[in-house]
Amino acid sequence: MLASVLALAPLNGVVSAAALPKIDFPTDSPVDLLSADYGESNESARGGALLLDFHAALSLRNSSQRKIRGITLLVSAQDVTPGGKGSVTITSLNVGPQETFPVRIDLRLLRPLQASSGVPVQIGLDGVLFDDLSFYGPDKLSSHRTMALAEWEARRDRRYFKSVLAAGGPERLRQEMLESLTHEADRPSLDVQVVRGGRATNYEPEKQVQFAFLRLPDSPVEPVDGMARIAGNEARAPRLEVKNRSERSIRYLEVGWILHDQTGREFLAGSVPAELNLAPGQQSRIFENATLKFPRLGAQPLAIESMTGFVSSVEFSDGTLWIPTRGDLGSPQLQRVMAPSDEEQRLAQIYRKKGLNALVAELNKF
Amino acid sequence: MRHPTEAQNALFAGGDLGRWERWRVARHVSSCVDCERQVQALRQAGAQLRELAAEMPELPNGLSWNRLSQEMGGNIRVGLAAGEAIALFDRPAPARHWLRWNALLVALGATAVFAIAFWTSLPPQQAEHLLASLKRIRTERIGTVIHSAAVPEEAVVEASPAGIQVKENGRTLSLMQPRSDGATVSISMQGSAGVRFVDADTGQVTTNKVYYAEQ
Repeated sequence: MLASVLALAPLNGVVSAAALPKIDFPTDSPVDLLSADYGESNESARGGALLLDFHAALSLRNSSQRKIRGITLLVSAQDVTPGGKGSVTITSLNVGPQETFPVRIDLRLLRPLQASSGVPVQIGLDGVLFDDLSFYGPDKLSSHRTMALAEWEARRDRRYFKSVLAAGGPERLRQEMLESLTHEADRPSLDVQVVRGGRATNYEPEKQVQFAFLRLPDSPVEPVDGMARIAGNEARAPRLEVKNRSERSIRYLEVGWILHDQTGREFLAGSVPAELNLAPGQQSRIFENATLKFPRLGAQPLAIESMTGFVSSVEFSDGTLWIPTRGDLGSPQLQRVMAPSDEEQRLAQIYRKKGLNALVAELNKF
Repeated sequence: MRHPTEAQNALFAGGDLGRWERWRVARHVSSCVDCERQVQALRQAGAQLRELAAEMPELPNGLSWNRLSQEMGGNIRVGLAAGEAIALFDRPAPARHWLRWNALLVALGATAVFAIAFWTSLPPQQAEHLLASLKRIRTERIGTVIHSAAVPEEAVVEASPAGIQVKENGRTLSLMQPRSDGATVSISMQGSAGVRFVDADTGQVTTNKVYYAEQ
């Protein structure tokens, strides 16, 4: 069903109805748009530019016959950033047929005052993931893979917490949640830029640094060799060599990239994804011509010293996935830098806000 | 088959030959005992030199003699290539168009063959260096000569726990993070940035991402 909606709700009078986002779902979409509220949206002039702040609260209904586990909406502003796009993905959902759920989009556009005054933002559907891992949607942003990986992690973590509950009772589960919340609070916050192509600055001497690798025992891919160029707070052009040590062909993998600075701090900088066709036993090279730049880490400037890589996810040619086990993630180095999964964060927040009984009830829903 | 010259063997031993030349010399060396011996000797001499270099006084700021030597070599090659490229733009146009179309096509073909041969003969590091220098010349020099106003600013994808944004030609699209508990930033080298958080109002796990893909 086509759901094209403009200005359904009252505004604060600042953003004109014509400037509000246009929402367009395919006719056979498994979700319907029930309402869209742009209550606090506003626009203001900043020098020669116009700042548009959209706060959209959408209400969607599952019009399919299956449970929805995840949804990705594609946000584009063709007149503002022709090459840039945004997406809003919600995972760990448990929405049954005909049930409704909210989606919130907080978007800000900065464009010249004299730019065209047409509809600046389009919102569409990129994909919906169901509980049987089937998928609907154009998948322009590879949201199928993104949501499937999140769902695999969610299932792994729910299994783990259910086993904790069964083996150690509610107190043991409470302990786990407290550890998870502490771990989340201890991780360093990080600002980072990614620029396609060469160095963003060139006043620091650049050096070529070899990757150290964290080899996860069950990983179907073995990192063989790798290097990247490093200058001050920039890391760029990672080159990696990987080997498929499984008996199945691989079509996608991601290598996590941990950076260490001169004071011994370490953090997960980003990932190097690769679409490839890697037959069993075959080796392949991965190269990305992009630069990561870290303005600062906390209050101190960052000077990158060394780096570690590890295989963080793999998709086989038959569409099945591999992710690290909870045991793998328990290794001290990963423990220090990796964030808890989507699902673990969600469960920890249920525990924090609603208590242990609510958490146990939530686990029992699955 | 004709033996490579001593200079070619020396460059081969040091890994400084271009792709095509390297393949040709490697093929010969693998079947020629004399040349193989010469290459081995050159490699040993190189290793001894590196040992001697290691005993030289240290340079500040993590610089090394090896790196300086590589950079100087690279800069000389790039300088020569860049000089030729710039000379093309500074040269006055010929007074008369004496070339016929077919001659022009032959010249273009020969230029293309020369360019491909030159490019494939460059060692990878020098090729990358040259490409970066030519890009800089294009924006800094040619851009001003033809008064182009359409040199695009580099697109940048940026992430912080407060939000993520893609910037392009002074315009910005940002996805802001509402009131939430904890935020995890993720960056993909393919040009996307994401922030994941648990929405404090809905309890939902939300991941906002921005991407940049060239048109």
